[in-house]
Amino acid sequence: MVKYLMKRILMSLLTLFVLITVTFVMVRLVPGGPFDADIAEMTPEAYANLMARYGIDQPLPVQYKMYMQNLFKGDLGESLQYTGVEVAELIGRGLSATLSLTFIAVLVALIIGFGLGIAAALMPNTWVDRLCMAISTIGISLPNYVVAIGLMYLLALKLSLLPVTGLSSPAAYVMPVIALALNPIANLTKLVKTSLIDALNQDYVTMAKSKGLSQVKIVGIHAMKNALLPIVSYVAPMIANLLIGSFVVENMFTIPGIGTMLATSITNRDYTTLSGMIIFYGAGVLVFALLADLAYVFIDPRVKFED
Amino acid sequence: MKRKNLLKTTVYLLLALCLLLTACSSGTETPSTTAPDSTDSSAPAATAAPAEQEGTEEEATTTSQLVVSPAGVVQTSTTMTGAPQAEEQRLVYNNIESSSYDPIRNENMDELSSHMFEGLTCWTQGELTMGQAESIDVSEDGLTYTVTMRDDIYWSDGEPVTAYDFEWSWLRHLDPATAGKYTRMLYPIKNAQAYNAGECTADEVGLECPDERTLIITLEAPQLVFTEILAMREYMPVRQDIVETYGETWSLDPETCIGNGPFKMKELIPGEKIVYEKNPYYYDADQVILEEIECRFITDPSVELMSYEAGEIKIATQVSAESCLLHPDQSYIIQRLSSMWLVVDCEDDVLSDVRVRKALAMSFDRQAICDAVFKGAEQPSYTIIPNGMKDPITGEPWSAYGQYFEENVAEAQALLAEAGYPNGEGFPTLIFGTSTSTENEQVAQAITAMWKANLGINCEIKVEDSASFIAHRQEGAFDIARWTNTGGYNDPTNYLAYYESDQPNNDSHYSNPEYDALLHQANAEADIPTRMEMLHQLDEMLITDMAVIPLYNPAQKYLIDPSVVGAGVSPAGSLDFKRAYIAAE
Repeated sequence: MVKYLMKRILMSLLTLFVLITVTFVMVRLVPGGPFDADIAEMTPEAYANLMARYGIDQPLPVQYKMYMQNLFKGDLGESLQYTGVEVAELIGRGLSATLSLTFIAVLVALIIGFGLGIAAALMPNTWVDRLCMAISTIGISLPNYVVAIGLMYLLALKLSLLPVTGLSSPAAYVMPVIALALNPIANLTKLVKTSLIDALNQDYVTMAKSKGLSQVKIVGIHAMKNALLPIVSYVAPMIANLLIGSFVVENMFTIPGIGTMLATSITNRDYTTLSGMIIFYGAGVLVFALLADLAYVFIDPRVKFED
Repeated sequence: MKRKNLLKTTVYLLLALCLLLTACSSGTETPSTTAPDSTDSSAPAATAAPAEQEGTEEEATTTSQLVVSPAGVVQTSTTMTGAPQAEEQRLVYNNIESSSYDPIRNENMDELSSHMFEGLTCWTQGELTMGQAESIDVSEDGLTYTVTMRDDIYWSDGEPVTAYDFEWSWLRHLDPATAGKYTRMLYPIKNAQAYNAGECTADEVGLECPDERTLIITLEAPQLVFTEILAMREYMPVRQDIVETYGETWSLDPETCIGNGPFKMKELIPGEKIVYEKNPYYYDADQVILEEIECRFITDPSVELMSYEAGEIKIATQVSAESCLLHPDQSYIIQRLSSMWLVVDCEDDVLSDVRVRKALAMSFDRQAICDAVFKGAEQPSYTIIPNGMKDPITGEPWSAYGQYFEENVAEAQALLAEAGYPNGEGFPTLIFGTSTSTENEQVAQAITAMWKANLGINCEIKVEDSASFIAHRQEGAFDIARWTNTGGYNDPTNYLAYYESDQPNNDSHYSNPEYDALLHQANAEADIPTRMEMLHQLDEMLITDMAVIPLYNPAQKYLIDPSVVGAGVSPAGSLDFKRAYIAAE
């Protein structure tokens, strides 16, 4: 187990290194430099001063070496767009806005998704089942910007119940949370329903029933545990996805999260911020993938890691 | 059977819901279909109907076109009646975020910085007034400006503002180590460019402070409107001790963002909003009525519109002409110093023939484009100098002087035939570059469709995101590409200087020794009427050679709630709220 873990972590680090290198080269291959948007306003002197200040005038291998050296010291560098602001600080800033929102969205998605899925599985072919599946279908088919703008139009503009943008009051969370959670809810509902029905048809459930176990115990302890396996492999990337933020939803609700930050760093050709973001995302995805694998061991005793 | 019906109903309901929701979302965002299509329109696309509004609400039929007004105080209905002030003086509006509020780092307009900082002169309700300066004396030769400062000016922490603050701030901006982007604006000062290039020391820059209240500025050459230049954000002062203690991020924290303007920073949430409060140390604080201003950073225009309609923001600044038409009584289209034109590759085999360039410029209908795409909010232009540019002596707008070409399809066809391409036969496909935006794309489609219809010329439109587009335009990847310039001050040289032969931004690759010589001559000319005469000649030369194809003048579009009184707009298109207030209900 420990050996396996070490191997996984080493592999992850290697993946990260490749990711960093590829990103470093790719962002510089994209046409347009970080200061080109203002080129009409700049004199050659001002442009040269800027390039020198950020070391972009150096040859690429020199830049790469400097970047990697700083990275080993844990320094992601200074943003090219926000003068004097560290990339690490930018990510932290964005992350705090994103987390406050997505933490709630994840909770809501898990609670409602599981609730609807279990309800549908336990009462198949009733109106409950159909309602759950209807909600699920809506959630899968509507893109989140449509949900966002539809909610804004209805709840904020027509009914004046909620503020249009920002996160200044608890009420302001309602619309972005729905917009973020609807799709995961829809997928979870479907997944939980099918996995649970599958588990409920197993022999051990029939046996548990014949032994007189209560419905709650059967579903909650025995069937659910086995139904969880396919769900975990969906939930781990789902959480990772929500945590890295949604540009569309953040942008519409004017929430300064990391989704927006990634998008603007691309438009601005902010090399350092963009690289920093991608490293952060890459690390996040790798960590969650590892956690999901570990979760299997605890859920399913049949799963064992080869040393 | 029953189940199937239910399923069917659900599906229909869902479909209806989807349609409804997409309809809501697309209302303000999707490209309007009124713009001429680039495909086979046999009639000249110029005749495509502008802004069809019939059949909609009555409000649309009363105003189907927008009216442009000059910069100055925004005259809302409440301004006219002199409405009384409301008890709570708090204004919430929306604009684009800046990555820094340090005046020299602010990459947008002057606006967000100028609430907090003030130069020697400033814009108040659209008028140029003295700011931190009490008086400015100009020497006969127009080269020396002696500025006497007010004696009652303070920073927002109570420290006095001195002439040294200005001198230090400008030198800091020019210091190569500061790596300021917009140092160009300081180059009128003697040796400023040399110092910025690292070719001389700070001592040699034409700035001198004999005492705390006097600043003597020596210029490189006489300027048309140097007092106007002094109002720009590049000339606003910052505090030496603050910048040196807190480093580059000083302007992002209300504690350390010390300014000298009518308002000061109260709160900043990057990406969400900035809140300003009245600066009690401002010399003119008695005249400042607003207690607080909150500026949101909503970027999505349809969300901004919704926010405005919900009453959360009182001024919307990212509005399209179409959203203005939804609230014709609250929309204000303000003329500003902004111009849009096309650069044409004058070194290209085909486009190097001036007859071809002229044929292109003369064969599309600018008014039709302005009416169809912008509902009249933008005005056609026949030069690259904005219509709003004023003669510093007579006050006459630039457009009153003359027009060096006229749209004329028949003549354009003749010119093209003369150049060897009758009816466009044998003419290669031109690559037309533009950057991503609904309006840019519509304009490109309209122009190329009219060229196709009138001249038989084919174009390939390349739409790219703005950073790639600018890089490719500079590399010369396009035959024709859009170019826009906004802001600045009332000096046409700003625009004309782009087309000097060796300018790095001369993307037309226009090279005319006569033009270069006259430009240098004009820059050194102290007599303003003579200089203006030369600038008009330069404009004529540029247009006669058709080094650029003028398009239109973008205007500043606002939706302003009637409760906002006395907001001013500067010629560059920045709002000021020094005298503004919220009217009582």
